[in-house]
Amino acid sequence: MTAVRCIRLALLLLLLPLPWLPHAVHAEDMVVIVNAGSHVHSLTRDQVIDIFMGRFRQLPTGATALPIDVADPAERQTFYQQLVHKSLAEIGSYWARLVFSGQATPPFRAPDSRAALRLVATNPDAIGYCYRSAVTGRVKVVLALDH
Amino acid sequence: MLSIIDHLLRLVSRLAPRSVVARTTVAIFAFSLLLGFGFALASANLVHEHEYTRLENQLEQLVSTVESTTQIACYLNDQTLARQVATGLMKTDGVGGVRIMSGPALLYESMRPGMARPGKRLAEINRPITSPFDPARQVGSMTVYLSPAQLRAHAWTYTRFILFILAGEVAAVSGGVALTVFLVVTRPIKGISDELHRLRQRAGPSLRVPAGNESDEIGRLVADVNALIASLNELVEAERSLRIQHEVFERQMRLVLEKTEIGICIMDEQGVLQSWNPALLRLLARPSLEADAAWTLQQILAPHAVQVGEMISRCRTGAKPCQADLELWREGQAAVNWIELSLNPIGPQLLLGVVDDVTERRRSVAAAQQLAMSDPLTGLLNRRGLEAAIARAFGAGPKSGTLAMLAIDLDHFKEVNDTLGHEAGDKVLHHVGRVIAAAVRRSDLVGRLGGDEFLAVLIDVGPPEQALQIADDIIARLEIPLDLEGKTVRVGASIGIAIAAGIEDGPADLLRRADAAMYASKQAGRGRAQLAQDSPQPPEIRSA
Repeated sequence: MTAVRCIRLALLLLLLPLPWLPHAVHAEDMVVIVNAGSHVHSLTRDQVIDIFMGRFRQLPTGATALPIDVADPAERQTFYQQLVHKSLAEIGSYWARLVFSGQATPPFRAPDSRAALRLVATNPDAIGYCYRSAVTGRVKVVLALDH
Repeated sequence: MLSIIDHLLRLVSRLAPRSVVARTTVAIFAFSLLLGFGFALASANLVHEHEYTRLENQLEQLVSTVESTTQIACYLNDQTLARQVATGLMKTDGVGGVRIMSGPALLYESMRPGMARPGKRLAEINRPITSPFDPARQVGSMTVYLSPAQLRAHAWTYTRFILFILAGEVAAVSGGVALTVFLVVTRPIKGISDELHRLRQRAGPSLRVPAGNESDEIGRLVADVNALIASLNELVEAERSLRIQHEVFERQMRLVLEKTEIGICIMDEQGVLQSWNPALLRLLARPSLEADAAWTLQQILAPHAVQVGEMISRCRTGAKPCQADLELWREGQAAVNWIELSLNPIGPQLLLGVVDDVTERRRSVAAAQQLAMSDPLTGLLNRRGLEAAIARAFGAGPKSGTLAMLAIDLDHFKEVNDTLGHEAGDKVLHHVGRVIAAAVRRSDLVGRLGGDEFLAVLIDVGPPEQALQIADDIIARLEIPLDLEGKTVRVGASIGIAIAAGIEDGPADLLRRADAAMYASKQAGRGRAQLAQDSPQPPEIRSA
């Protein structure tokens, strides 16, 4: 057995499980969160979908909601999968169709999950999402998603 | 329908040429075209319906294609997106209008001109639109209207296409059928017909079976026609040979008729001659007959016209043959000719006359009769001849005078026979015969009854004295001595005379009385004549 072949096998072993990584690592439930001081206590799934997919941007309180996305594709993928059972590609295609009509805009995208959490914690109309394990005291869970 | 076809066929046959091939082909084409046209017409409606369904399905699929975009448009109440969807759909044929509803509100509507009025709308495809993220949540609806005009145009295009295909198929099939019929049926039959037509001119033996038709109906037809021709030929041959036979027979018959010695003629019921042979003219001593003149048998046999006329009518009415012997006197010919004429009815109103010369037969019969009636020794009549002649004389009846019978018996003849022999006796008898014959008239009858007994019958003798005188004359002539080879022979005679008093006296009675008188004269001394007792007595009796 030559050294070249050893390296090739090692690379193969490293590469193989890669597509499974997000599922394997992030199979955790997502939760929809709002500012801890918000008057909104809970939201239905449809309400969350309408807000995130651009149909309505109003909260039950009457205030205009500010949905916040997470730039991390793994986390975003998990969220949309659990919310509307669609992949990121499908969600991208959805928004792409609306580019020219200008009727609806995609949610604001935070650079990482920590930034997203901070935005929700500081903005009373913001609405975001995170892993259940990442919930802090400054945010309030209004809908728990499960896969 | 049948009458229409019939009418069509008659029309076709009137227009088409007189060839079976052309007529069959034209008829098949016409029928196929008619049928194809009918089918196309019937299928047009079906095609329209089918096309409608097809279009509906197509639009249904189209609607499915744009459904996801419509979902988004309805979900987001996005008019721009809805317009894009509608515009895309309106580009499709058959779409008359599109209406997209977002919830209860109208999101976008697009209609072709003329589609606004509800009555003009043909049909619609109505589909509820759900949220792209939740199939259980309805967020709007989409209605697509089908355009009837476009649908019709579509259907017509489709129908036209089908018609085109159908027409092509009909043409191909009918062409194939026509070709098949032509090859399988019409051409062989036409070939047979042509050959049969030519066959009439040449006396050929038979038709050929068209190739490939050996075992079907056409082959059978040819075989039957051949059999028919063969039998016809045989018939013609038989007829010809019969005619030849008949001609030969006729020639022979004509030759026979020309050469025969029997006269033959054919006449109608009035005796008008239709035809005759040369022998007839020869027999009847006619040099020729003008053919254009109507000669009758009665005219030709002029002396017997009445008898011939009777024969003809008897033959006609009795419808059976009759015949008669006729005498003919030829100019400048002493002998009498006899012909036998026999008439036979042949066919309707026709008689066959046959004339034969029977002169020879008549003569030989007469000669035989003469031989039977005469005495060979004296040449006078014998007893039978005498009886016949007397019967004839009695039959004729005494005309003006009376009939006298002289029974003559020789005296002393037995002595001559005994002394001089039979030969001398015969000569004496011969002499006596001649003496008696010379003593009476030619018309009187003289015969020898046998032995030395002679009999003379005097016809129309007048008074009894005349008979007595003749008897005396005979006795006197016989008493003259006869010189017989140097020897003198004397014979005498005793004669009894009986005169017929009337018709009631028969010949036998007369002979008996004459015999009795003769015996009486022998008793009285021989050599004398004596009248019978009951004969009319003369005023005085003279002795010899």
